[in-house]
Amino acid sequence: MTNPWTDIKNTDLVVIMGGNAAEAHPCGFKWVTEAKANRGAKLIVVDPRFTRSASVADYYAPIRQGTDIAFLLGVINYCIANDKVQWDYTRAFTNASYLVQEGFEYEDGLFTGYDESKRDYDRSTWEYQIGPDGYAVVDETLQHPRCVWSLLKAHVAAYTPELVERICGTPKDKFLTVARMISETSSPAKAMTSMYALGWTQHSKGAQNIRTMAMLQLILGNIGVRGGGMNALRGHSNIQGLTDIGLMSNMLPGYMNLPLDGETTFNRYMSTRAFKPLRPGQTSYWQNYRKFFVSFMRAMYGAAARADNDWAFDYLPKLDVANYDILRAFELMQKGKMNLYFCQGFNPMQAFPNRAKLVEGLSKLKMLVVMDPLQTETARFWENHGVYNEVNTVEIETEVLQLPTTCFAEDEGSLVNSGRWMQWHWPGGSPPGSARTDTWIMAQIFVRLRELYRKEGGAFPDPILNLYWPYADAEEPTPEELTKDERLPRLRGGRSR
Amino acid sequence: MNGYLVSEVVDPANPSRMTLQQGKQLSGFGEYRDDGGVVGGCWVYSGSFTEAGNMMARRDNSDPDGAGMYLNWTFAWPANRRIIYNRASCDLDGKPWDASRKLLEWDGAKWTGYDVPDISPTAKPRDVGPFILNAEGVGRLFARQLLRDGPFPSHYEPFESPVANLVAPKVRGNPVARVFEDDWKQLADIGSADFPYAATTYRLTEHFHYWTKNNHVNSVLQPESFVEISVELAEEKGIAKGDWVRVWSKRGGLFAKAVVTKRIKPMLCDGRIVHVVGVPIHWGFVGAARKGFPANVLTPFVGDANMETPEFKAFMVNIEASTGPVA
Repeated sequence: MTNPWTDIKNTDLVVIMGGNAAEAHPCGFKWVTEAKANRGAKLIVVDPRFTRSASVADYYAPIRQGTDIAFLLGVINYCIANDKVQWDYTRAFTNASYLVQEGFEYEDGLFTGYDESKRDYDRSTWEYQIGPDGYAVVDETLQHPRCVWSLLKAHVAAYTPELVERICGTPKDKFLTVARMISETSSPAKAMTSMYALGWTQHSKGAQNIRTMAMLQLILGNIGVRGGGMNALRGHSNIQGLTDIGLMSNMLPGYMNLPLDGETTFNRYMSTRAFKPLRPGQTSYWQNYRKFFVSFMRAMYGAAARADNDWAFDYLPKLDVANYDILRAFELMQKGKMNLYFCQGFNPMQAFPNRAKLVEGLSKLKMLVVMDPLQTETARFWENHGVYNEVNTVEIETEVLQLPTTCFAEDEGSLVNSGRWMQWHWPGGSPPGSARTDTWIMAQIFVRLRELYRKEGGAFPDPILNLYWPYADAEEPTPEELTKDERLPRLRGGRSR
Repeated sequence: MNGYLVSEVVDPANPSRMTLQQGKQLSGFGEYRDDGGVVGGCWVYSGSFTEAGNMMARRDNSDPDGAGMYLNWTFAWPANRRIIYNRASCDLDGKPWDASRKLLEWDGAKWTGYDVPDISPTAKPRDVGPFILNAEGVGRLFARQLLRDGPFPSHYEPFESPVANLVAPKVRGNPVARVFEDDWKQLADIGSADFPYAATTYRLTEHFHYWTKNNHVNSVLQPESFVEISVELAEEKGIAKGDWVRVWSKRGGLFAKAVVTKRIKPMLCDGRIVHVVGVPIHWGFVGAARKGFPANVLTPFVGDANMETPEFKAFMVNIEASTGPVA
């Protein structure tokens, strides 16, 4: 979320599209209720179903699933055609005035540079015109035919209310009512908040669903203000933390990313991460990437990350494909190319698509390790449950290990909520049976692995042997120690201080 | 993750090696360095645990003028900022766009107000743009090369859809989304008569993902798996409320009870009636709840072109009245 949950009370208009906050985020939804009761805010719901959110909305419009971009480009078109744009904001705070390279075009659903055989674009023309001073060229009158504003106007012109109705199934009068209500927030004295969740992300164009609303919010002047913003309601209490810490195959903590195969040296890696300002005097905060990266490498490898070894850049794995996301992981399993799967706090047998393919993949593993506070279908994928899981158990040779973990109420640490609040929490009870914290389990595995590499060596044991591990008890770092990357004195019972 | 200062010293345990001697915890990522003088694992979290203590453990719910910012309640990254891009809450000269909803204000020398300013507190209003992470300093209507599927969004149909793309009839799905070879064969054709109904998946208040089906109370509140269909589709298919139905896609099928509802209505898309089938996600074969089918027996193995998030929300199925599963 750009704004915190508590700020939703400051809004004039809530648009719930791509989510159902009253049903799936009932606690946070109280801020919508506050805004309606105290400010007279209105609530619009656009959804294929008349949801629990719709039942308390001021206006509901149906939409066919997967057509949100057409609907929202239609709203942008409406705002431009009816002069419902916060002009001062759009001119000063967006790239509307920037000139785009000649050669960039859009035709028949494709942008310049499409290669059908690769299912990818050569994106080189998707760029600004750069002047002799090294800065992007702008036309503050927004009249130039190559400025972003002109190109945007032309791009959205096709999305008339009639076309929106044909694509989305939203009756024209309902679309126009929604468009009119949204467009009123172009006034500097009005704000609209967008609340969305998995109804926008879980699509083959999920990022663009969200981006379209972000563009609309920009031209209405609703970003950065109280009661405005793009507010992603996260589905798990700490999924925001997952993103921040970079728990994806291609990411590093703090929204940095892993090097690719071609980026064989630190200098080469940094050369595409310089982030020079594109206009005079701009902050371009990612210019500090090197500081964030070097400090991260120090946190990973301590004194073994030195200036003369490029901060241990060679320790990092390099990606040969864009990412090893979970779809690719199951594809590799099914093809027999992945043997061991460590499944920590995740139930892919329920949570990932095409269960038949998932079962096939899990059945080809040599070993599956499941760390979870609960029994999961994933840990028991090999059990026959009649129609509910028709597998032939005797044919499955995968060895399955279950390592029971604590749940959020049984351990200490921080959770990051949708509004980016890092909230420390304390255990409310002791874990049952042999359940242990995830950090204890990971530390046990690490210490044993390190010992094996110490004794037996290996092709390249350095990254494991040199992992910075300063904690008072190597086999059980405390949450405070992990948060501070340091060794802390222990109380009796193991807690820090 | 907060970050602290370090210096290199000779390791007393092994004089041939260097080790790091720890200095103070940093107060924020502005103190990060590129010369190795800082150990800091996640710069955006810097400021969360400083020399002043654990900022995440703070529980002061004071809220000056009811602005809703609660700056002393826990810690918000980055830099305890509650609304990001907050300089954009003011006009070019630093006056709030809406005085009744002031967030920040330029007082002639610095930015003051209810939140931690995004830009340097002394940066003059016309000098620095609000979108400080972008090299332009402004928000992007045109995303340059940063997304794989286009600098502007464009309408693409889901990979399984009742209709062809009206804007670009030749384009199937998102043209740059990755589809593995075998998975193409498991996608229903556009407008397929075998899979004529547009399905979607969703959650219910009474359940949290696949956790609470381990809990007896939640399992009583939502006792068995169901699918939701319109009155019109139920009539067409001879299905009554509470009947067993079978729902299947090109990848698999499920049995569930039918909830026949006015909450879903058929839509008219370019002259064609589109019926929606709603499939809640929560049931499985483990836990305290009655066994049931999860929605993922139906869903397609294709993800977002940028993030690979699966396309759970739009795919095609068929449905028929049934006598239920044979155990």
